[in-house]
Amino acid sequence: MSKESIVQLEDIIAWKVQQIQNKVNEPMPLPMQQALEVNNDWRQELSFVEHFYTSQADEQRPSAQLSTRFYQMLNSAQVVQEQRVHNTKNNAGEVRFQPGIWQAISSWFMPAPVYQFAMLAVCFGLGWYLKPIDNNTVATNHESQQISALQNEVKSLTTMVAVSMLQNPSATERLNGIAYSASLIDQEPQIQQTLLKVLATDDSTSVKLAALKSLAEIQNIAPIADALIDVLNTERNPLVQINVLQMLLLSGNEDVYLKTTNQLTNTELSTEASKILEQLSQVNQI
Amino acid sequence: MTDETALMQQIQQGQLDKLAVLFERHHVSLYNYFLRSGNSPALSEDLVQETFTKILAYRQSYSANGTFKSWMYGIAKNTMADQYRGLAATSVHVDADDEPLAANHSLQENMEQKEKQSLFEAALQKLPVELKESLVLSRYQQLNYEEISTMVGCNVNTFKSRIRKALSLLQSHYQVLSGEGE
Amino acid sequence: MTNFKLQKLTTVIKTITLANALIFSASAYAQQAERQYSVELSDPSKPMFLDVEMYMGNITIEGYEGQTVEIVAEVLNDFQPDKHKDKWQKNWKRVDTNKPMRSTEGLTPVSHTAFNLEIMESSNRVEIESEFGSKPVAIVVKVPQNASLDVNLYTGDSINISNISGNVEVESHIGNINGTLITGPIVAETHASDIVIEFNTFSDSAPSSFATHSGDIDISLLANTASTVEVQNYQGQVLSGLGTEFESVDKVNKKQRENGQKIEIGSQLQAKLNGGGQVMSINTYSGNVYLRQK
Repeated sequence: MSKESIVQLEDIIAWKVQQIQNKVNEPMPLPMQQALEVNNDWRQELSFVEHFYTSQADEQRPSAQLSTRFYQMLNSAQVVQEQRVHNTKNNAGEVRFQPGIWQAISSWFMPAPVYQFAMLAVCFGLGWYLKPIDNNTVATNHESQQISALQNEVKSLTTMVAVSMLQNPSATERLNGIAYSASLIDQEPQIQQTLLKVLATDDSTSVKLAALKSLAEIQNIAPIADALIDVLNTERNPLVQINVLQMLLLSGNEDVYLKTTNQLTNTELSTEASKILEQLSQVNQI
Repeated sequence: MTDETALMQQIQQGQLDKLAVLFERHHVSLYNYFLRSGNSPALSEDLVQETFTKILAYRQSYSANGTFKSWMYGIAKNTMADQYRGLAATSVHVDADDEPLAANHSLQENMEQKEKQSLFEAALQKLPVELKESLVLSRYQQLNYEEISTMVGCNVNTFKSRIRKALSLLQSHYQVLSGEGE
Repeated sequence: MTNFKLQKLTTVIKTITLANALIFSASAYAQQAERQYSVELSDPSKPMFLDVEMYMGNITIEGYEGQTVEIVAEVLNDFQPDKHKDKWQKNWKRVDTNKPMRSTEGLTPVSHTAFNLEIMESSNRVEIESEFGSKPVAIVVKVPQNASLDVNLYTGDSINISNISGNVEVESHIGNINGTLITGPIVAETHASDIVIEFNTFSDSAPSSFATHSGDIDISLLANTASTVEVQNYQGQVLSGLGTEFESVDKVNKKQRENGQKIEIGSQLQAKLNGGGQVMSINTYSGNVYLRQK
């Protein structure tokens, strides 16, 4: 037949590969056999293909860490799903965590970097909204709206996680939460409020100092000035007092400066903080 | 394979724990896919993790038309491509010349099979990325031509030619490495 | 300054006695000063958590290969809290100076080794507590190496922790904190005592942080540690043997802001070891900071 003459090596290879993969015992079609018989180079090439496809392929094992990370991710995804259902049912504005929920989320952060959550949050949200994905899909207007809605959702989800981390009994996890929430400090009042609460009530000086460092990045300090002055009235640790003073007096905001100095007359500062206050006053006169 | 489709449908309906079954079944071969594609062990693990995270995220986009396996490798391939784009400045591709064969323990062992396999692996690393990718998916991940051609966006006949070209190039590298080709 | 959780401690103890969990009570009048306990974990295949709260005494915690928690507790009859007085009781005065001295003629002190130590295990969480009013106790606890710890001591010679790869949180009002073969993350805090930590590797899973008012902070790191080390102190020296230069933020650093400028005061130092990595924060008001390369 005329078809015999157009048998090509790639067809024979494709057949061979299929045979090997499917373990089919059918003999090779005659035209292919005939083509091979007259072509020594093809036979050699096919022999190589057979060797390559049938030689033993050793598989390397990944570390146990991979499984741990996967199950933590899965666990967290289940938590997020439960929380989503919970929130939808209750339609509650306040985020309330049931016991074990923050634990599940925070445990996920212990060995893995924080970015994983962001990754999950974004991906999880995408899976929720975007039905078909394709490499070359161009987002329609409708999809853009969906993505925008998703971004808001992810932001609130991220805030929710940050807040839960900041409430974790482990100081390490709270430090992680502060680092995690740093990028949201100027956008999310809820994060600011939680950090202020941490500053006022946390047991760990390290955590308070980290919270202060994060709060110091807020562009406009005026709305939280009162809360910071309150901290000066209750906080006894000189390191924390000094950092709060620096924030208030060196913010560049004249109103905050005046408000602080006026109120400080009634505040009993530590010797160390008083010293710094003296220095700061001198700086302000420069 | 149909049971994997059923598992995916259960995951789509909210039984996320079913993903564990798919993970246990595929994570080792997926890890080896990333390794063979030239990624370091640590990065390969990250890529496996990311692939499964995406599987979870994109679960609703899976349709029963194709096998789960081919869908998963499609995501894996894109994940790796994203990684290369992100790390454009630092090459992730391990060239066989940079990865000396002498360092490969299997070569030091006098087991012919292992030696041959090491040479295949070394020769594979010398192929251009596109050809290597197709060959790895076909040989090691055992996807069929139709599945891979859909994944890489070409028709089956073009893919047949590509595989042949890849194998031919692999053979010449293999011969040089084994000292056969003078 | 530090919020020692004594009130919480007593509440916890009350809760424990009601809890549906294993309780080991060592409050009997012991014949010998030293006692040993072995606590089995609910699930030895999973990492455990050890919580120690002690009012007075010394604490030693060692990671080991085993899967149980081994505790040796000993009453410290020769413990002299007085030697720490100068550190924390400068303004301390006796209020009963007008009381008449009672005669001790013909009386000899009775050696008494009673102490109260509560040990509880529940869901891989082991709590060891010695409340206020109990005799000072020295405990040595062996835990699986990957255990996480939360250790609080109000007054004592030291807390010694070694060979632990889990999270470590440790606070001592009076008494040094010594750590060897620590992986971190670790958060340690004292008032006037020193913090001396030798890292094995440095975990990048969460920040590590050290804070003390007037104690020294002495940290040893492996040469290949990747970390961003931040040091804040106001008095006292910073001495570094690390290969990387510290960048000093000026005493007064003015930054333009939207509505004015921001000025920072204080000695702020930062070094990015091996390109930088997870943050290690070191804060002291008047203590020295020593940074060493192992």
